[in-house]
Amino acid sequence: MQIDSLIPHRAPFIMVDTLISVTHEKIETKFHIEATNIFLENGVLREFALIENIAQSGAAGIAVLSKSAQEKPAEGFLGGISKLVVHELPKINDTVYTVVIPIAQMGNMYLLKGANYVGGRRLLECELKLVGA
Amino acid sequence: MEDLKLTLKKQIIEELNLQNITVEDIGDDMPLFAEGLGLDSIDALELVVIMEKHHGIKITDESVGKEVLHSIDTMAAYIQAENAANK
Repeated sequence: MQIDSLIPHRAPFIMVDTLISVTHEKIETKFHIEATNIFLENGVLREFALIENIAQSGAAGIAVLSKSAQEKPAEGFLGGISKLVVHELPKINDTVYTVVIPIAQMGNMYLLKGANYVGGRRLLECELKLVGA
Repeated sequence: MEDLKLTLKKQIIEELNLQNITVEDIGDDMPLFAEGLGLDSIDALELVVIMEKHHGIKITDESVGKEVLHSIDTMAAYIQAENAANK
């Protein structure tokens, strides 16, 4: 399934390539960092791109779970970020593997816990609140 | 019931990381949102987590959430009712 059919973001702001698997317990995605990524600084991907990667991974997974994938993906916003820890930042040509765990949901609001990894090393972890518009 | 209300107040302060707020500041019938305790609608997610993690009650419907998460009184009453129904 094309990622742009699941989330409203468009290039160059898409920070997810592939949805690996989606269940109600866990969403997994992959993202390869190209040299053209606009959030690179001195060859390193900035923290906010990793947060965006978790948010987009969660939104894509929720779209699949709620069967809302359609021609025009639902818009939403990031309502809050908490428990943020940055361990390491990835570089050009790294492939980021991301895991998002849905913690709670009420109506169109979701609390997600996410982390991204390169080669098994944790990059960044946080909790996000996503709200569908 | 009073113990449950006190527990809920402590859990809300901890989960939402409410600084400078004590259990004495949260009235039993005080609205938890807007003009009451001042939580915003997205904070409701943390209350949902409290209900599920600490009390084993899942709330996913927004209209149920609006009613149940209105105040400490309504949360405690819902927990008691659910526990009684599941006995």
